[in-house]
Amino acid sequence: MRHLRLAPYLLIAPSLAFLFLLFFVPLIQTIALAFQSDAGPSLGKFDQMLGDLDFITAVKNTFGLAVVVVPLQFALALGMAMMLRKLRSGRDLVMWIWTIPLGISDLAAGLVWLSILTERGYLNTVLFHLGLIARPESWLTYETPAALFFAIVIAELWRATAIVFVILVAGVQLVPAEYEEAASVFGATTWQRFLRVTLPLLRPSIQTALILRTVLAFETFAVVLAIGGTTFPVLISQAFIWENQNQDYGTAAAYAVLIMVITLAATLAYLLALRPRAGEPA
Amino acid sequence: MRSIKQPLFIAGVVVLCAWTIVPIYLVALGGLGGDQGVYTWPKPFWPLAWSAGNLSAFLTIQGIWPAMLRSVEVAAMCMGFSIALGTPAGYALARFAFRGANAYRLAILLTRAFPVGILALPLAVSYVRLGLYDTALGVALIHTALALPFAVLVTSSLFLGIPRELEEAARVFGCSGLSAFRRVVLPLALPGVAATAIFAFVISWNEVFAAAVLTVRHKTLTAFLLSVLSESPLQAQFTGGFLLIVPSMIFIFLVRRYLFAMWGIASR
Amino acid sequence: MAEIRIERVAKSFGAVTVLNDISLSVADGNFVALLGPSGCGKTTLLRIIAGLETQTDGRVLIDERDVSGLPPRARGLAMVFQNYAVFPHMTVRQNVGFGLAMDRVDTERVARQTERAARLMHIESLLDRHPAHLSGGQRQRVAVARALAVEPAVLLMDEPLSNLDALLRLEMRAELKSVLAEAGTTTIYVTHDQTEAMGLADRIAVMHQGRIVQEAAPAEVYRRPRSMFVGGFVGSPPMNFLRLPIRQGVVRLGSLELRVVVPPDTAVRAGDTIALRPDLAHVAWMHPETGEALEPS
Repeated sequence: MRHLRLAPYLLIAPSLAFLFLLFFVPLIQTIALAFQSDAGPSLGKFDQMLGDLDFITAVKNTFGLAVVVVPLQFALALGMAMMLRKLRSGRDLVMWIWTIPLGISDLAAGLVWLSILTERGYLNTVLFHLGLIARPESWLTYETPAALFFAIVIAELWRATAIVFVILVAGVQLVPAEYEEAASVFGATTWQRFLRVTLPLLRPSIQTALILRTVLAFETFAVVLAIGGTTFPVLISQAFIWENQNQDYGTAAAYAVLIMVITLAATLAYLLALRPRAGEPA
Repeated sequence: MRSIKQPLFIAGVVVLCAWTIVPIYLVALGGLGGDQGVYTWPKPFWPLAWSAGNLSAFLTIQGIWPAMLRSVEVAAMCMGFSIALGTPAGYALARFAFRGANAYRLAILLTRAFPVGILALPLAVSYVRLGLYDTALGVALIHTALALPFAVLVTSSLFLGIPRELEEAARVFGCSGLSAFRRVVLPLALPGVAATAIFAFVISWNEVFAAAVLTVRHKTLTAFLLSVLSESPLQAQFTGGFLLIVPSMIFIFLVRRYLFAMWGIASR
Repeated sequence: MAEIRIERVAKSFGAVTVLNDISLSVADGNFVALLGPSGCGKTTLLRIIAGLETQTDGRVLIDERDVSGLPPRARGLAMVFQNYAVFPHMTVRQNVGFGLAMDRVDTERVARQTERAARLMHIESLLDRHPAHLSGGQRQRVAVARALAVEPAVLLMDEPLSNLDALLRLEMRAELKSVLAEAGTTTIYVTHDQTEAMGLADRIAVMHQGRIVQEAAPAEVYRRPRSMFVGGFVGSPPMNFLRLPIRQGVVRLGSLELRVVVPPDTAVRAGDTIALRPDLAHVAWMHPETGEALEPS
């Protein structure tokens, strides 16, 4: 009977060891790489990162994207989640269609929207048929940074809303119908019910979705590269370039550390801002 | 007011569905339309020249097919590792109240607040020393780190949903702990575990950054497509994009019943 | 058929003591009910006997064999769980035959004993169905059949009837009684329902806050409860407790005077409480002078 005490530890040991070796150790190593130099720990790589021509642009772009995409996605996903609840017939089909993007990588999403927005792409075809343009317009060049930004926002909106959607729907299913019914009985309109009952009860799901989505937002780079190429630098694409083209792991690591710090700060901010108030269930 | 709400609602649902599906259709067109299709303009909205022969020759020459196979290899390994490591841990969390259980669960959750793909950077250096650089195994390992927390949390919830009494009954009537697990718990948990496995596959299949950093000559599909973004003909990119999407779509369809349960669980 | 002895078993979960110095003997073939309110430790005790929990102290002996360290499957017992624990992915037949299959009994014998147990519990027609298609009552029968099929030395039952509706509960009680009486299996039955215990058991062990406060035949527990708790817990409607002063063998209830006949070996003190079972009490008219009963009592 004694070995029963050890059983749980034996069961979690492999996963723990694995995560230690392939998560924790590389994490430390990343930080070490960023501070590395021939003469011991220094901020040299960070200097290089800050001195990067594209650094400021990358920072602006990354934050710009995150600040625009995440709220839009939340609004859209919330709307979709509420619509799904109202749906009676065809629920399964709609649910599957709306979650298809879950299986689509940001690279694929980038390629998809590339095919639509490229010079000889579908958007121009539609606009041509509508008589709005006479010949193909190029939207995705450095001459039109706004259009580029917009294109990336669309692609990300298209792809990653499903992730938020699924988390919110799962959360909504946990909200007992009685609360909203009670609200109706006591006179709340649909909008009031949503604002004062549904939304607060969804708080834990919203918190999780926000954290997840924000972390992902700072991680996505393939869609940017696919649509914008090097015209639209973001922090993580810069990290990739430094590693891939310049073979400079140190500076790439500096970018990585910056990204980690930002996402950690964001996570803490979400945890604080959306923590359960006294008396609320966690 | 009610009378216009209903059709508006339906319209909204239809628009959102179309918004999801049409782009996929379009990239399929672009990918399967042959060389001609890519450069014609205005673009036709239905397939004109559709040739399977063209397609297969195209796949091998352009290097997409071997990359695809490699993606399958990596994703399969990731799937195997995640389940092998995650299921016992999930069982431990579900059935045993042990000291450190909460700390472990917290640690698992914390990994998801980090951009794990970035960790490929130092790993590239270590891998060279270990001989794992540019191998499918190397990529599969970091992908497993990505999928493992998910596997642990979901399987844990799965096992919690199976009443402990069933195992106890099995043990009273003659099973050892392991045998009870095999005969009673596993058959009941199998659908959920399978869904988790498939999801781990999809996670690995779609990952870009780590795959791109850790491979040179033996690229996965995502790494390959990334590397040829600016150089290869558009047609290759569209075909590649389509090929990236299709398996995932099929897999998500297979696990659609478990999707919400899984994501709901994994985010609590 | 076996005799069970529980010697000074104690169980604590961390700082909480759930069982305190429990000793109990169950004779071969006897049906003993562990009766008590929720939280008294009766289920914990049963699980310790089964081997599903390990006691902190003391030991359990089945037929003089110390089974204290053995896993459940080595103890030679069968158990009926409160929520039935009928395996949802197996047919009724596979469920009932499960214990036999685990014992590696030959298939012919498995089939024979499965059929027999199914007949005993009247579920022969359900043998090829899956539990999902059965009602609660039917699933309960499957659980009992599974336990009977292995012809155990000891049968443990954890509130098996508590999830059934009232009518079904009464039916099942009668059935269980006849089936178990015929089999003659040593049975330990946990329940919080005292009418169930009174109706089924040869002996009742009343438990309260982790101890056995009285262990005796049902009639004795009823008529001579050892404590106020036992008296109040057993019996429906509950026992009346009256704190009344007794003066010279007489108790005044308003204008009524009750003569108290005190049993010869009991000392009555001033602040004592009188416990009165409503069904055992009757009102008699007595002649005020002669003290004779005026009506037949």
